[in-house]
Amino acid sequence: MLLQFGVEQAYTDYLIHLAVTLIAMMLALYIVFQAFRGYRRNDSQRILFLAIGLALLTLAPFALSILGASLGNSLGLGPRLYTFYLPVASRLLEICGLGCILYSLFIRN
Amino acid sequence: MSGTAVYVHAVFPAQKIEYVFYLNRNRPIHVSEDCSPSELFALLDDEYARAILTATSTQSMSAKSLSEECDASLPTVYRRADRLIECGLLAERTEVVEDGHHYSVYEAQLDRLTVELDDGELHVDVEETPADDVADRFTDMWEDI
Repeated sequence: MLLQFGVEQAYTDYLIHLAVTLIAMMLALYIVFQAFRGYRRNDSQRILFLAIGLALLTLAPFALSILGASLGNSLGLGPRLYTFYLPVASRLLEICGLGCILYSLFIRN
Repeated sequence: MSGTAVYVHAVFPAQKIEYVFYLNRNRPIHVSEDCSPSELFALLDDEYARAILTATSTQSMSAKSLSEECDASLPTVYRRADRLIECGLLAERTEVVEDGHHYSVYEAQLDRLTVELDDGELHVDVEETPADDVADRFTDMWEDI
């Protein structure tokens, strides 16, 4: 009984995690999409790098966190996946994203 | 938009403008973008430039449709449009069509032009209208930083 409750709990946790991540991803996707359209319409390098930066900063870690939650056990990396690999990979993507945004600020048209 | 040019000339008759510019040769004047006040006034004095501004104020238009609308040759439209863009009165956007082709459209940026004479200095300020499309506003905002 206790075990079954634990499994159900984990399942709802996973669903809630998936739902909020999808909402955040949709909002991020919309903003990135508008920035990318701005690049297509205005031929502006600066907004292109902002779009790439925002994508790396938001979309990539979200995608990673969903992948980690759904494929985590089958990879066989154990708990280190959640305590080390995923956070570090997310952080590295965020660093790349921030680098893109910083670069975009320094481009002179 | 053509009314704006009339307003400028009515307030500053030719000799007065010359006087003011002379005064300002050694002083910093606030000019929008990379365009001097004399260039701006000369541009607004041009009937094709005004026609392009008025035509593109309601909807964005391609050079071809502008040339029909303003009864001007295509090279004339391109020359005026380039000068208007330099002065920050017009914006050029790329419209992407379904099949992957894209072409340029122009959209008026000018909302209001103010000329202020203050303590021997002439301030010409171009106020821009925010772009219609959210992607264009986003781009303008980010580029203004």
